[in-house]
Amino acid sequence: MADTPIVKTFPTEPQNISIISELMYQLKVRDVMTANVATATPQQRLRDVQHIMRDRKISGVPIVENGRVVGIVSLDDIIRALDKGEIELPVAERMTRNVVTIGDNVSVVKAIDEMEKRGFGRLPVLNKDGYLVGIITHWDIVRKLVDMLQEVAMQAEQRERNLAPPTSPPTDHSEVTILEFPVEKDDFENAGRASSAVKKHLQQRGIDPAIIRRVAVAMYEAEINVIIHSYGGTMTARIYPDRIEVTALDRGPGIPNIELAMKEGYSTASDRVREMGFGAGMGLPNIKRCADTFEIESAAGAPTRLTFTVYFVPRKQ
Amino acid sequence: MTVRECMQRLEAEVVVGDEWLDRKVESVAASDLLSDVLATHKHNFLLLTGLSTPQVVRTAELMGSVGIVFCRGKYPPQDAIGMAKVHGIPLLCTRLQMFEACCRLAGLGLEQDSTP
Ligand SMILES: Nc1ncnc2c1ncn2[C@@H]1O[C@H](COP(=O)(O)OP(=O)(O)O)[C@@H](O)[C@H]1O
Ligand SMILES: [Mg+2]
Repeated sequence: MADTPIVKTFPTEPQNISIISELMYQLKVRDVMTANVATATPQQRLRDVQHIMRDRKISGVPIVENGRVVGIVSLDDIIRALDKGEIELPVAERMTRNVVTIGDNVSVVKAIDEMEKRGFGRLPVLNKDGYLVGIITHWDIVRKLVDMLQEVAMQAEQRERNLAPPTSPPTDHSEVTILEFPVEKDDFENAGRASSAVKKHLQQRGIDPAIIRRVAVAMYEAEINVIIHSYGGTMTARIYPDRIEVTALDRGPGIPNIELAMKEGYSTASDRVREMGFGAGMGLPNIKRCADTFEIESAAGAPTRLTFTVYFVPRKQ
Repeated sequence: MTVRECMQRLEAEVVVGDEWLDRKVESVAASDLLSDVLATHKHNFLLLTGLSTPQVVRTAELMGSVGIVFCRGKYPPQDAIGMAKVHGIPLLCTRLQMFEACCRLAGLGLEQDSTP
């Protein structure tokens, strides 16, 4: 056996924001608005505004004088002007003068509120000095939220790809490879990452898929137990040429009655954990079933050490 | 049976994994308890569940499931979608309740198994 094991430690990942309302409160109008606004002056003709709308495919144009918004012309105004033969009139004569605007530093939630209250689908955006810096529409907000959600998915995808053991497994299989993973209390976000990384490692070694599945299931149940029942700990996988040995060692609080804990259906898991689909009291028995050797040491107020071995030999059917 | 055929029977929508819909489904596991799923002896199963957490995808991945159907109109969270992409697991959503969904897949020659 080797004297220098290869130790790889995988850090846990930071928490990820995935709740849409959190995103909405973080988002400011300036993050979402269209900064490149098409504008017109009061002296231009309504006809010019009509062309701007057509060319830029927009339905509202702020009217600006010296950087200040003095009015707004909507598609409705243009239609009315066309109807009444007033399309050649100066903008100043038909624009809406009481323009509802919004600050660039306001949250998107507030902007949506404001649009709803006033019945406008678009608001010119002013900076703190009162100058026009952009325009915001419902569409801008939806687009940005979808982008941000997709970004969350992409980050998760990236993290998942990085799970692969960083180097290819040693070709000289006489060595022992040790993979180590910290596991934190209540860290559901990273639950199963250790098991997944070990699974990948075994796949790279060409281990029989049925054996890998037994290892993965046993390790996942052990990992979940550390997350839901303990103060946190470490999962360690020692991979030998003929077997894998997995240890889940935590920092307590321990199991007062191991015989009881091993019973199918016995569980002390909280309702919250049950809502997530765990805590059926089947973990320990399942680990034992999947493994070739199984040991658990614990006591009330002590760490729990669970160790199991799976040999790389297919089971007889 | 392929994942696609199951999708049609369940009137399900694909969230991710159009390219993996032609996979063969050998059996179905339906549960809101992940520990149940982890105890199954089934292989190449389609997982039906009313849960919608990233751990569903993790469980499916570790068990070699061929796809996940989120029932009762549940939609998977974004991180679950990202994970499923990496592991090549199609995610489907159906408005059907789990029981109805199971009924629609019953009697289609999917492996019947008296073990859990
Ligand atoms: N690492 C641990 N630390 C403390 N208690 C544990 C640990 N692992 C298991 N237990 C206890 O053993 C019980 C049975 O575990 P298990 O069979 O995995 O079922 P479940 O996790 O669904 O409750 C748990 O409910 C818990 O009381
Ligand atoms: Mg458990």
